Amino acid sequence: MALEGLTLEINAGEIFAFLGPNGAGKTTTVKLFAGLLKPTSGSASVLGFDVSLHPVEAKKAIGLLSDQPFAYPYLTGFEFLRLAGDLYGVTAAEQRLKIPELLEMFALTDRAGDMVESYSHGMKQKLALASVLLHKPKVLFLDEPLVGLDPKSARLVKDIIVALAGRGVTVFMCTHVIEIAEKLAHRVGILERGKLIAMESVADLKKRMHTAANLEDMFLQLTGGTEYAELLKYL
Amino acid sequence: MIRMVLAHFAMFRNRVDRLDVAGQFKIAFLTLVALFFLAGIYAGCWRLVSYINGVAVIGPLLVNKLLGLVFLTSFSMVVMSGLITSFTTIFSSEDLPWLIEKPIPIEKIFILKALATCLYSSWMVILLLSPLLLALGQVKQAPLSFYPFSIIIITPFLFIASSLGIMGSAVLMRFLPSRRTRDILLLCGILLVTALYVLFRLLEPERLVRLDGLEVVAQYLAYLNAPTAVYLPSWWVAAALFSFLTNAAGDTFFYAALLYGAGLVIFIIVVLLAKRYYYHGWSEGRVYNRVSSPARFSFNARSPLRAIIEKDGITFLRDAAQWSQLLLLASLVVVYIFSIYKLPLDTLYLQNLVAFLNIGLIGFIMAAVALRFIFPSVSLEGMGISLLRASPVSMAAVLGGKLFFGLVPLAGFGILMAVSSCMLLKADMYMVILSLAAVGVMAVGLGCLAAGFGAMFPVFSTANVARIESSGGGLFFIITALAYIGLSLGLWAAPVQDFYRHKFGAQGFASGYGWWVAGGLVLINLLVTVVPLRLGYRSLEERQL
Repeated sequence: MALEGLTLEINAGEIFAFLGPNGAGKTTTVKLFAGLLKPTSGSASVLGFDVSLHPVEAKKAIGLLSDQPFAYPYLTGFEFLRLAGDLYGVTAAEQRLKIPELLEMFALTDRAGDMVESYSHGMKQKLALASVLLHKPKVLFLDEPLVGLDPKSARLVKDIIVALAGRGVTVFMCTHVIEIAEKLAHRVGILERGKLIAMESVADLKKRMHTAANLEDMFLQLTGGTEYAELLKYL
Repeated sequence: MIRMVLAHFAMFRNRVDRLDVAGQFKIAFLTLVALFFLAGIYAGCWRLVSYINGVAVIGPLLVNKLLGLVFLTSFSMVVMSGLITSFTTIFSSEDLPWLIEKPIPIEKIFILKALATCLYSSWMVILLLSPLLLALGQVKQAPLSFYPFSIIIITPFLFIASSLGIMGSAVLMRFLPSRRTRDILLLCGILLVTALYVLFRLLEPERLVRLDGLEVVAQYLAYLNAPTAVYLPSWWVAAALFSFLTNAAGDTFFYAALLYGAGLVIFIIVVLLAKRYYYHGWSEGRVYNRVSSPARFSFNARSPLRAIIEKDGITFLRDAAQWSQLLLLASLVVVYIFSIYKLPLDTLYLQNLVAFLNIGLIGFIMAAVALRFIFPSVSLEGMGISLLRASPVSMAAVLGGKLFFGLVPLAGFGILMAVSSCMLLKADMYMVILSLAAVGVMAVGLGCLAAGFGAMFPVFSTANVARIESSGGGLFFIITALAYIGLSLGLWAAPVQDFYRHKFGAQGFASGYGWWVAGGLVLINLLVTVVPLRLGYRSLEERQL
């Protein structure tokens, strides 16, 4: 079982950072919310819509950026954004306004006519993110959104996250970059072997753990990770 | 290098060890089907070889000629297969970056990948040659040592053939490393195979066993006595086997030495080429030559279904590996029509009998086309399936798009073949209409079956169509499709029988079960359309991604 007794409730307009070691179950959680996995027990709801019972309504509200950004390699960047817009029912008039804007924002205009197979990892990540934002989702699931991005694009993505949350969009972000979680998130959740071991703001976590340490140290204390000091002698 | 080979064995063992009950059942089932298939080929080969061998005076010469032609065909197939496979195994295999960054001499990596290429490019030929050689040994009452000798002699033959393909790809990658160039080369290769195939058929090889086709018997005998491409290893292997069967030890040793000697020389050349060109070709092939083209922004309104169909169309046209197969399909049609044209049909009865059997043959060809083009369409989504599932679009639209994209050309192709073959056969108008109806209905049935099975048994982990269609699901599809074609043909036979009974003066409906036949046709067509599509849709909606 990948997840055990997990209960999460994220508020509208909240930036929630989901942390955990590799294989803890973060991506599985995101997939449950996005309707890519069916829970063996329990349920996942987005904006009040149970993802299993009302998948279309839930998916309309969701924007999902997966940990492995995907775009069809034989489509151009522009064609891929058009496809994403059509799948989410964005009107042609809206696409005419939004797509050039998004391409410009992510510095992809010059390469919009090239096939995706020629894009670097970072460019694919930016294109996938642009496609996720095109239909103005109310809930964003971002699985490792900053991987592969150059500093300028990473800054842009962080600004986008904050701005969208300010407009009431809920952001559920899985990340291993703990500094980003500490800086941006209203609350953090820490998952360890499928179990939620912390779910509060960084300030509240410090209080509970009676420490002034930063989030990285608290994370390592909670999940283990300090015991390798002996092993380092091998190097 | 031995460690890498052992690692591949370990990977294979781990996969076998971790097979669940369904996996074990699948392997057992596939093995059984493969054994039946091989037994069928063996029976066919035995019949053919014993028949030809029994022809008075020239029998053994004919067998010799046949074997020479079989090895020549195998040789060209393996060379071409080695050329195409090596692009994937030697130049774009996923583990190459990992291997190349290790402190291993580059030629060792090349040799490892080249050996894998030899195996991948020749296993099918080995599988098809085995029953033929077994039948040859049986007919010629060869000693038991003939079989291990065959293995010893065929190994360098296949090695030479695939190495020639690898040499070709190594040189091409050195001078033309970009992907677009390789696409063009792939197209040229397919054009060449297509042209050879059509040419071979147009030469009417059946004349070989029809003495009246050649004016002078002496000319015929001279033709039979002449070796088939004496400088090619295909002739050496055939000659070595025949020398062995006729106890000509000197010739046997000579041809065996020739094969092993040539194999060694080619191996040395391949390694030298690898040392010189491999790394350069591999690294150049990984660089994308950026030629940015300005985006043409067009914002026509599209439904999700239309967007998916257009996406599939664009992908199909831009992926040379997919659309180039249409050329092979075109050659298949030409050869089929030519074969119908050349059939010696002297009577009205024969013309109409062939016109009826033609429905089944077209059905069989359509099943093969559906397996190649419709069955893999869901699998080819790869990671894109997560993107579609996460969107608010129903999987019914996705499956419907795939079906529509494949069904329209499939039905058009079937109807074109039916019309042209009926015209060549000068069949009755009744038979023409019945053929069109049967082929049209079968196209819909086979299209739905292929789309549904493709969704039920997808292979998202590869973009290789050959691997997708040879999966368990592909095999299951083709077996079901053949059963469907057989049943359909059996049911369509009733109205044909009635028509000819009336035509030749009989009264009433001889079959007397018209409604049952109609009901049967409706039932089996509902079964192959609704059930697979429904199950495929559910599988896509509920699959854990």
